[in-house]
Amino acid sequence: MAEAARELEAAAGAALALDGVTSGYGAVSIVRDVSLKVAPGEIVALLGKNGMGKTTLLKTIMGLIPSRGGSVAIDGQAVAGMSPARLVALGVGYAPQEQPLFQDLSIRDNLRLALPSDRLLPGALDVVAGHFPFLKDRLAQKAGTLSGGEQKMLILARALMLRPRLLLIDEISEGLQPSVIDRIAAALAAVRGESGASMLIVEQNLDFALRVADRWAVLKLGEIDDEGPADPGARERVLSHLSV
Amino acid sequence: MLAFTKEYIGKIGGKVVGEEYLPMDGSDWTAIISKLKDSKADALITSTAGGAPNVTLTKQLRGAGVSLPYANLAVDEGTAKSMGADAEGIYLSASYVTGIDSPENKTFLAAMEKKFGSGLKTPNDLSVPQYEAVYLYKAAVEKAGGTETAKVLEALPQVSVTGPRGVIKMDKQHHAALTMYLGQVQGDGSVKVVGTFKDVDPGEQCPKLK
Amino acid sequence: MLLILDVLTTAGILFVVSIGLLAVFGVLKIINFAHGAWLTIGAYCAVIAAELGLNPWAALPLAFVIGAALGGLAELFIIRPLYRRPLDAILATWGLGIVIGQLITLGFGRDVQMTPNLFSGTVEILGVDYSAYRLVALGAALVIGVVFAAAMEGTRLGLSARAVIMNETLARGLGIDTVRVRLVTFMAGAGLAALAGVLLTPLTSVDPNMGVGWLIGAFMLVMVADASLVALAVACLVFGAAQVLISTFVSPILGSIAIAVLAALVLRVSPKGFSRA
Repeated sequence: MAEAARELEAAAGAALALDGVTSGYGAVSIVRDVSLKVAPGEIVALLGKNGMGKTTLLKTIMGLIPSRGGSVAIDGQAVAGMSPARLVALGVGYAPQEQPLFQDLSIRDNLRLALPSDRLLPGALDVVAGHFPFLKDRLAQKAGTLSGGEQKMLILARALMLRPRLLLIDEISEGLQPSVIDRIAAALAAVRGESGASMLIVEQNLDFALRVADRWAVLKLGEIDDEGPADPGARERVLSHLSV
Repeated sequence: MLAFTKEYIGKIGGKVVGEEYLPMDGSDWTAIISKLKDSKADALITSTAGGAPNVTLTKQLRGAGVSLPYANLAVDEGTAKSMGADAEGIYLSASYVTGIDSPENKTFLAAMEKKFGSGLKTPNDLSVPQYEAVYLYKAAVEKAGGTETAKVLEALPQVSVTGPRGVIKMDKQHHAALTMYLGQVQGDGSVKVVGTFKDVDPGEQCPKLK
Repeated sequence: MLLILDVLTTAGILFVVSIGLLAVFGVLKIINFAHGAWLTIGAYCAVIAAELGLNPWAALPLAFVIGAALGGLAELFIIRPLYRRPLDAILATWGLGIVIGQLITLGFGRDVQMTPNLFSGTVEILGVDYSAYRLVALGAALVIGVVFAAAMEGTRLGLSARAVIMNETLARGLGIDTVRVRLVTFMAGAGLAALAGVLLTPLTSVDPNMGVGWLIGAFMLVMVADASLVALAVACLVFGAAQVLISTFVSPILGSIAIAVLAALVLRVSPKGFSRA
């Protein structure tokens, strides 16, 4: 009990606090003993090469994979074992990387599915239109017919539309042209400016990550290898971890 | 049974215009009924497994509006009753139907009614023979003076019993000649005897038995 | 003409019998081998409705409600723990079907039950007298298909169900209550099966094992349709036609195994069945 109390105390004041989180599939632990904090209003970039456990960590926070050890706290509240539905209700927005859209459904239905009730749709569409106006004009279009960049914007808009307090974003910049990356970076900056939301963004694109983030952490073989502020020296320091 | 029926139909100058089969548990008679209607047959004879398959076939026949004379070689009175109005007019043959007009049968039915009341299942030519067989065995045991198998066997063809079906005597190679009835299901589910074939000889059954 | 009507009505009856199984398979990704038992439950609802002196058509809503309620209980206590163990779910639902058959036997006896005719007589269509009820059943199939499609397309629950069918991980990640979607889908599937049971009463004897014979055909059709309603309709039409044509022109015995054999062939050639077409 004392230990649990201490963990919660440590988590207090943080938008997201991971303490010794371990998880994985089957017999294999992909994420091992990861501790990480995201302060309110802070953007933290989670970096690392493919297969190092970044996506698995996000899925664990989101309740899609059961954690095997450690604790996850959001705004000081322990959330391990909660369903994704409850996390959404707590104000978590999630932009997944793998198969992130219902390709055969319209933009409108893709957005509706992320809302707990259709009553919230008008307000949510306003938020969407505020960031990416083209989406509101093409609500009936099937998501699968959007270009790669448009799909990424739809994924992000969907994560933003409930005005979450914490955003979990998985490789949103993957495969995008610089102009689209700029739009996405601008959207993230605007959200933080307006609502003070905290974000944990998984990235391979180092330039984009260091541009939007306040701090970074490198995940290597499922463990935190290094972390630090997104200052001018960060790029070289991160690269030294990625090159091996 | 069907081979015999076919031969008999030919012998009396009739013609079999169609013959169709379905697996024992088959439940879809759609195509067969359409063929039956196409054939413009004058009458229909069926032989399914007893019980449920009869009901399925009859429901589909009646649903398709088939109302030609229909003889069923495999339906018992109780099953016919459970088909309600669909069964009306069906011919069936059995060594026992409840409609046998004899004092013995009336006494038997009254006694059954008294014993089982509303729980009474319709007696048929599967259950009545069992009933009579017990009495026949009793008579054989009495004649043999004990239950020794060989002696009872010897006594069996020499005794008789009078049951709901009349006098039953197993004197034809340990088989009994039985009176067969042609019945027709009535609107109320009862079976009316429309033909009687007295003491039909069972033929050669166990030639080595005397 | 007779042949065309036979094909259409056979397809309609197959569709009615299979749609509940399709709903469950699509969302829950398990085959409900107790489907046949729910057909039987529905037919016995018709027996109960007759005993209560209700209008025979009242058995339809009654069966849907009772079927769905019992389906809800089965989902909660038997199916839910087995989602990650589909093979065990096959065993469990098969066993559940046997138990239900025996409970019905205990309650009603083994005898064939009498049910009132929903619709009797024949109608003349283009020169042939045809069973009026088979046409009613075809109509019922169309109504059920359209209502089901409208519910899937037009309601939020239908949208959630389609999302679970298309990509369950994403659906969960977006906060869709997949547990509730599964429960409601299983209830709807069970209700539809019971409804189909009532619609079968004018076509087949009502006894504790009546549903078993329909299960295999429904199973094969759903395998070929792979969770697509349109593909199911196509499969019912194609296989129903094959069954009628083979029964008419070759042999009813071969006709009665046509669906199983053709489904196996289709799945051999194209594992996704008709759903891609």
